[in-house]
Amino acid sequence: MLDPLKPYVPWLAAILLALGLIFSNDNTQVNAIRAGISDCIVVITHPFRTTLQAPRVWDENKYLRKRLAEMSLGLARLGKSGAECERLRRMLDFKQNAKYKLTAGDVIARNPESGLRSLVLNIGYMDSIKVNQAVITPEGLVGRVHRVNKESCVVQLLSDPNIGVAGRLTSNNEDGIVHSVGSSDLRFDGVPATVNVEQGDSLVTSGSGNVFPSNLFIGSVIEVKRASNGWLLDIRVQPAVNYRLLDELFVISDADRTR
Amino acid sequence: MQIVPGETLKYAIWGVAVLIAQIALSPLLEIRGIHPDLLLIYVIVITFKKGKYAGLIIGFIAGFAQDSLSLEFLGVMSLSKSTVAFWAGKWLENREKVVNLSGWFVLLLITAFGQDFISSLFILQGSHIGVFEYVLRNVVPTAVYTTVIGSLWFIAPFGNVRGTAKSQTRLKRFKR
Repeated sequence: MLDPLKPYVPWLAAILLALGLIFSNDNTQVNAIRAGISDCIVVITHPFRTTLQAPRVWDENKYLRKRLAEMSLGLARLGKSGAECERLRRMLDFKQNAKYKLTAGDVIARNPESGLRSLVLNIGYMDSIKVNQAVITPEGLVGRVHRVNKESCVVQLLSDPNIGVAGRLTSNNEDGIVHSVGSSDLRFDGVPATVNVEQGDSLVTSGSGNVFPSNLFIGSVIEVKRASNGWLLDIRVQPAVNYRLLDELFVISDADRTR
Repeated sequence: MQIVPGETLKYAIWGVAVLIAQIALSPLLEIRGIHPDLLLIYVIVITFKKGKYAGLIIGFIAGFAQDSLSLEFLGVMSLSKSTVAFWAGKWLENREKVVNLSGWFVLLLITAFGQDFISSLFILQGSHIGVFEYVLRNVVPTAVYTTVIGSLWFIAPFGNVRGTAKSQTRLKRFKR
C-alpha cells in the first residue's frame, strides 16, 4: 500500500532534515557547524575572489590615485586660501585698530631693474593718495608715495638708496637717519659712539621731516660697531618688511589728523 | 542510484568550482542587485545526468553551503534546492531525458522560480515586505537571470558532454 510513496521518502526525509535545521538555528552546535563550513568556504574561495577582483581593484586604485591628486591640489588651494584669509584678517584688524586713516592698495607692478626700489599700487589721486604719504604694512614701514597717477601710484621703498627716513631708537630715543646701503639691510646713521645701542633694539620713525608719522616700526638692530671716523656708530638694521613679498599695502592718507 | 567513487569525486570538485564561481563571480555578474544562482544550474545538471536522488542530495548539500554563507536560516536553501531538484528529476523521468533548448529553459525557469519562492516563504517571516512584492522584485528577476545563464551552458561547447540534454537530443536524431 505504501509502495507508491516509496520514491518520495528521500525527499520527505530531506524536507524533515531541512526543517530540523531551520528550527534549530539557535542551537550552538548547529551554529558551530555553520561557522566551520563558512570559514572553510571563505578560505577556499579567498584566492579566487582576490584574483577576480584584481581588475576592479586596479581600476579602483587608479581612480583613488586620481582622486588623491585632486584632493592634494584642493588641499593646497585651501591652504593658500587659509593663509590669505589669515593675512587679510590681520590686515583688516590692523586697519581697524590703526590710528591713521589708511587706504589699501594692491601691488600691481615692481620695478624691472635689478635691486627692488619701487612698487606700483593700484590706487591713485582718485583715492586721495598724495606724494610723500607713508606706505606701511601691519609689520612696519615700507616707503613713501613717490608719484601719483589717476588710479595708480609709485611707491619708493626703503631699500632705495635715495630715500632717507628720520628714525629713533626706542631703547634710548636717539634720533638718526635710516637709509639703504644697497643690500637687503638698512643703515642707521647719526648716532654718537657714546650711546649704548644693542642688537635687537627697535627702530621707529621719529616724525621729523613731516613725511612719515612718528612711531612707525622700521626694523631691528642686528649689528652695532664704531664708524671709521670714531665719533659715530655704524648700526645695521634688519627691516621689518621683506620688500620682495609684498602684495597689499596701506597708504597713510590722513596722517595730519592724528599726528 | 549508483554511487561511483570516481564520478562522485568529479562532481564534488565541480561543485566546489561552481561554489567558488558563485561567490567570486557574483559581484561581476550582478545586475541591479540580482545575481544568477549558478549552484542551482549545477544542481539541475546533476539531476539531469544522475537522476532525482542525486539531485536531491547535491541540492541539499549545495543549499547547506549557500546557507552557511548567508544570514538566512540554515536549512532554507537546502529545503528549496533539494525540493526543486527532486521534482525536476521526476519531470525529466517522464520526459525520457529528451530535452531541447526550450525545454531546458522552461525547466530552469520553473526550478529557479520555485526555489526562490519556497525560500522567500521562510525569509519573509516577520518582515513587512509582502510576498508578492518580493516575488516581483527579486524572485522573478533572479529566476530569469539564472535561466539565461543556465541556457548558455546548454548551448556552450563545454555543455556538449555525454549524458547531457544536448548530446542525448543529438543521439536520438542519429538513431532515427
